[in-house]
Amino acid sequence: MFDGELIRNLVDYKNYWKSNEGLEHLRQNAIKMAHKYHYENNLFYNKLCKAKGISKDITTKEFPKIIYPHTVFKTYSIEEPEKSPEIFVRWLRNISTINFNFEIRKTTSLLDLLNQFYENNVLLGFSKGTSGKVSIIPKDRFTQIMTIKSYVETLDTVLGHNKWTTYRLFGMTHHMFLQIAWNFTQSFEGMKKSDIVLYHNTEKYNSFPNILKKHKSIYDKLTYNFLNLENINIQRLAKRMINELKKIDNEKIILIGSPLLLREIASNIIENNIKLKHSKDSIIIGVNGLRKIINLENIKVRPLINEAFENIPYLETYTMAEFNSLIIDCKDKKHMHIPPWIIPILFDENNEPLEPEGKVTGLFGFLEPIPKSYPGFILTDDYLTIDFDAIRECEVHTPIVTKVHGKTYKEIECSGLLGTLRRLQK
Amino acid sequence: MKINTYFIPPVAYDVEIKVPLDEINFGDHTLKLPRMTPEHVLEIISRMREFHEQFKEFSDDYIESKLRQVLMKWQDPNYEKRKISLQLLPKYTNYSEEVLNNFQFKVLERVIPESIDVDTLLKYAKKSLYKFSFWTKENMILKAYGRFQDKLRVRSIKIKRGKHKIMTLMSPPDAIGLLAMYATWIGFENRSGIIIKNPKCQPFFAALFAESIYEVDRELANMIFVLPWYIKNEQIDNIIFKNSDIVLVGLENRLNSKNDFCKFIKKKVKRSIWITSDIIVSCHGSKMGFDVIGKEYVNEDVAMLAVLDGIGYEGRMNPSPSLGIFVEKGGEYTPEDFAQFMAKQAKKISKLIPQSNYYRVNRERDLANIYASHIDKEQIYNEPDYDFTIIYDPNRKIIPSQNRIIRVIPVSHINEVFKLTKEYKKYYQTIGIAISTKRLLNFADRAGEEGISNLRVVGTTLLPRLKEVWDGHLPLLEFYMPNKLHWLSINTINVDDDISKLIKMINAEMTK
Repeated sequence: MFDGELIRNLVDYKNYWKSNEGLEHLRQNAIKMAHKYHYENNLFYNKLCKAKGISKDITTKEFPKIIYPHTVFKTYSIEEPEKSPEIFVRWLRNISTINFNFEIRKTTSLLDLLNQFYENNVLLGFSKGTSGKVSIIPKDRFTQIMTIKSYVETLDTVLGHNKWTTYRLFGMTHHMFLQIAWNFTQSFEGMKKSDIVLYHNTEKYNSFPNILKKHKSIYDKLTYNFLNLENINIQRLAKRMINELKKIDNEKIILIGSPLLLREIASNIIENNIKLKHSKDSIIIGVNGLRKIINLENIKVRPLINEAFENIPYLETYTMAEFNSLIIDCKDKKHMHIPPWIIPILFDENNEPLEPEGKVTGLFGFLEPIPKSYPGFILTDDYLTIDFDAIRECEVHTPIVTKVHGKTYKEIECSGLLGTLRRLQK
Repeated sequence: MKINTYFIPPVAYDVEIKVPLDEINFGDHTLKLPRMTPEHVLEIISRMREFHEQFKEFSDDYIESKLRQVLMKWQDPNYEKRKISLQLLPKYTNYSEEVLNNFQFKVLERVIPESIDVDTLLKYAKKSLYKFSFWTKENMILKAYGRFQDKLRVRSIKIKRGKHKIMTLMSPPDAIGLLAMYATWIGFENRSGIIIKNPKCQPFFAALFAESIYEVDRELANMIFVLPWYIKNEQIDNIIFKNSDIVLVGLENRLNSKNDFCKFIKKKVKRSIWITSDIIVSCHGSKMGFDVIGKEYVNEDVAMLAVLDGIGYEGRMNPSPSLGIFVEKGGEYTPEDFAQFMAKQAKKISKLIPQSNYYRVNRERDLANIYASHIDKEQIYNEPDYDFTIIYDPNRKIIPSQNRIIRVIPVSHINEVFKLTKEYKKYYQTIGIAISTKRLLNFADRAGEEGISNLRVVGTTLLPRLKEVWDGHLPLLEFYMPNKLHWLSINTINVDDDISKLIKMINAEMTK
């Protein structure tokens, strides 16, 4: 049985302030419980554990062994699931811990297919597929609610308990099945002032090839590659958003967007010498995947935002579709805290788990007991430096991410067949 | 332990003493890293070029006997440098000691009785232009594929050894050392001095090998210069490149990669070959292989040989059957039975040649994707305490696999493999074969036309010999031949005999 109460107790903003030792037991119990539940109810996970010699009752020593790669959510075999829903559902049954006892009808639209699932309380959230294939993450109602709770509790910590509901959310891409967007918009749902929707392009998300920008026609290729249409869209959007921002001067806002969009807004404000007078309690949040975080240094978002918005703090986040939590800078010290309901595990170049002591750099995996619809024990492609013992003024006790690196581990640098295979498999 | 990452030929001893050394920690060991300047490198190369006048007069017998002595040393389990290598290579390459012992050092044993008799090789090459030629003494079959006019040019080829004074090997970053040995041998046979830029993942093997040449013959050691990858200096790379007559590069299909080395080579290949054409750039690597088991050989003994091919170097070498083991239907046993035989044999073999933790974890990570996309008819043979995964896939989906995940795929006829794997045609290199001698040549001809370079008896696909074709080119002769000819070699003239001998030999070794 999945102990929802245990998860609810763990996912609480107060736990950010508790000592690591005090929480350890609760966290470990939650992970053991989640493992047992998925072991008994998830076909794929059960086979994988058996292949590795892991039983349904695990010890903390075995925690690194239950982590599996995020690519599992890319293993569906068809490019257009809307046209063969039965094959797609078969895959979902295999990888998820959800009992799909409802009918899905064939359709011509991916959005329609995803809506059919959503009507049956299953969210199939996806990522944009920066590695060449879209990840599909199945979330049942409990997981959806806990994802929202997890975001809310983290924002409570960063912005102050319940204070953040007085903000006006501004600029989030409103597309319900894009997982990160869903996480943010649903977390802010309670705020009636939140829904200023500026970027709503359903066409873009109507099929996997569209999401991945696999342009088939010469016209599409020309417009995207030569005319740089995407950039032009961002420029237009930035202008529209600035106009909207002018209308709500003096309000407390949370401006959320991709770093590219935020940079565009900031440069536009600077170039046109626009003076915005938002409350100094306002906040700007950059929502990034790993690659974008790395690029941040190159595209210099932070200095531009600081210049354009003067005293409004800019917070960077690190999250991903498979992750139901948010790693975000704290407001004062800009420390990227890992939520206390997560156990991060870093792996070294030899695939050995690194001791969680001091400042450690490795391949990032995490144990997140929140999801009931799939095992949340996932290995990312991202290479992080985490400080497990930093003494900090903000008094939050969780480890902090101090750096997000490029792919520097040795496999990526290797040439020959290995490199060829890696490229082919992507 | 302090280990050299460089070898400066004795003829440039006065330069060596001028080169300051840094010591860097590489894992538990200290590597001695030379702080070389472009001037040092230029001086060393010019000394080698001067000495080349004497070197080119060395007799074949002299060079061969010396190289044989070097390899004899490496064969001895008590040889200090071999011990160091076996101690360090597992740490730096992540292969288990058993994998290195059974494959890398096994190759040494097979190379020892050999040498490249260039004239005989050329003679057989000329014989093989239009039909298979049987090289009985060397137990090898050879044939060329290509345009008529290119074949015609081979007839007039003259080998002038000593013409290329310097040959450079730009090792790919993940090479484990064998390549350095091969390049040295080929270079010396061609009477070329060798410069080796040793690989990044283990910057010591080439230096140890050069030192062993020095131990045997100081004169010969004057023609080998090893410098470490860690010298990141484009000026030095440029000097090496400009002063080389031949450059061997081990990353043919990787030239579009974005890492610095690939960018550098790509730039050089464009400039040097396509524009000035005064340096021979020989690109190798980035290939894949598969095994083909004819219906007459679907049995447990051959399954054991197929397992050896699959687990060697964890499926990461170019000849490794990473595209799968294709088993023909219609034999005494079914392809599914063969997969079960393989699983049974893999249990035994994986205990003798275990995986390192690194590759075991990689396999387990790959397994997650396999179980996630698991198709009903697929049979997965895997046991938690053993280092192997055999997948029988009647759906015949070709998924390149490594880390000891070996896919068994049924085929109605052996020639069907080319249809099934055509997506990977540009990566074709080696096929491990268990096809009866009487059916072999028909299959081989088709393979040659498809672009395969090597047919090797199943169980020996990872044990290449010096004279065999290398990525479609004949070793050494490739420096004199038209580029467009594609060669195929078969490492046996009688598959049936070789398979029987191999089974006996391996069974004897396993019962030791």
